[in-house]
Amino acid sequence: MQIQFNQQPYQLVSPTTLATFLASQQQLRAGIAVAINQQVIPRSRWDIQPLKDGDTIQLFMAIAGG
Amino acid sequence: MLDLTPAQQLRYSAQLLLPEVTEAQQRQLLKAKVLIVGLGGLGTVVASYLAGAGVGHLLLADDDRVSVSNLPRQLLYSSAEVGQLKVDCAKARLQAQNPDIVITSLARRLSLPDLLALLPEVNLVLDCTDNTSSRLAINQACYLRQVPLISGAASGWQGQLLALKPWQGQGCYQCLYPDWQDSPSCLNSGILGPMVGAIACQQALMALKLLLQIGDMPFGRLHCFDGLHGQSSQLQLQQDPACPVCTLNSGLAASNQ
Repeated sequence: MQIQFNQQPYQLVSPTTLATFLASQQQLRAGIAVAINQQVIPRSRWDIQPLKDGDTIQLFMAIAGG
Repeated sequence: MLDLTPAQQLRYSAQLLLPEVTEAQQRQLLKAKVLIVGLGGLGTVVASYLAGAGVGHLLLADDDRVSVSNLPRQLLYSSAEVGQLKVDCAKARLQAQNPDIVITSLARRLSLPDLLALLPEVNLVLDCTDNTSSRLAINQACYLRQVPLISGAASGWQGQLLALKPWQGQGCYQCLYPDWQDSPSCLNSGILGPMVGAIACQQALMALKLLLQIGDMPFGRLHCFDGLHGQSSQLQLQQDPACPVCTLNSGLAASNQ
C-alpha cells in the first residue's frame, strides 16, 4: 500500500493507523495538525484512523506569529 | 438610512465601481464595528485596508510598543515612533488616512473576560496576535458570543488563514490544535515583511467580503501558504468530539434552548 506523506511517497507493508504511522516517523508531538486528503483529522481520532492506499497525508504546525 | 455624502461617494468611488458593491453595502460597511487584536505585521496591514475601505468603527487592541525591528513589516509606524504605544501610533495614522471613521484604541492584552465584554457590540473579530494564549481566548470568546472570526498567522515561510463561525459545527481553533502550548513567533523564527503582508491582505479581503456580504466565505477551511515554495493548500476543518471548547459551547447552546 502506497501513501504520500508531506509530498513524499511511502510504502506501508501492514495496515496501520495515523497515530502509529506518525509515531514511526517521529512526528507525534504537540502543536501539530494532520490532514488526510485535505480533511483535517481531529486529534481524538488519530488512534483509530486507518491509512488507506493512495491517502495523501499533510502534517503542519500551529503558528502564532502576527 | 442616510445616503452617502458626495465626499464619501468620491472617497469610496473605486470600490463602488465594482458591480457587487452598492451604496447600500457601503453604508453597511460604515455602520460596521470590527475588533482587530494585535497590531503587528498582520494587524497594521489589515487595519489600514479596513480603515481605507470605510469600516465605520475599528477597535484596535495591543499592549505593545513600537520597536525598531518592527519597522520592516509593520508599515503604520515610523522610526520616530519607536517606544510609543502601537495603538496610539496606529490610531493617529489611520485617522489621518480616513477621518470618516471612528477608531478606538485599547492599550492592553485582551483577556477572555475583556473579550466577552466587548464582543456583543462587534460584527467581526480579526485575530492578528502573536501568541497562543490570546488565540485560544479569542477562539473561545467568538464561539461563545457567536461573532465571526478571521484568524491569520505567519511565521518563517508559513502562513495560515482560517475563517470561523464555530457555532455552526465546523470545528474551532481548539479542535485544530488541541495541545497547542507555544509556537514559533516572528521573533524566534524570522519573517520577511511581504510574507506576513500576504496573509494580512487575504485576511483584509475576507473581512471586507464578509462585511459586504459578497462572494464566497470559506468558513472552516484552513488556508496554508508556503511562501518559500509559492505553494498553498486548503484543508477542511472538522469538529473534534473531544474538544473541550466545543463541548462547553454545545452544552450552553442546549441550555439556552
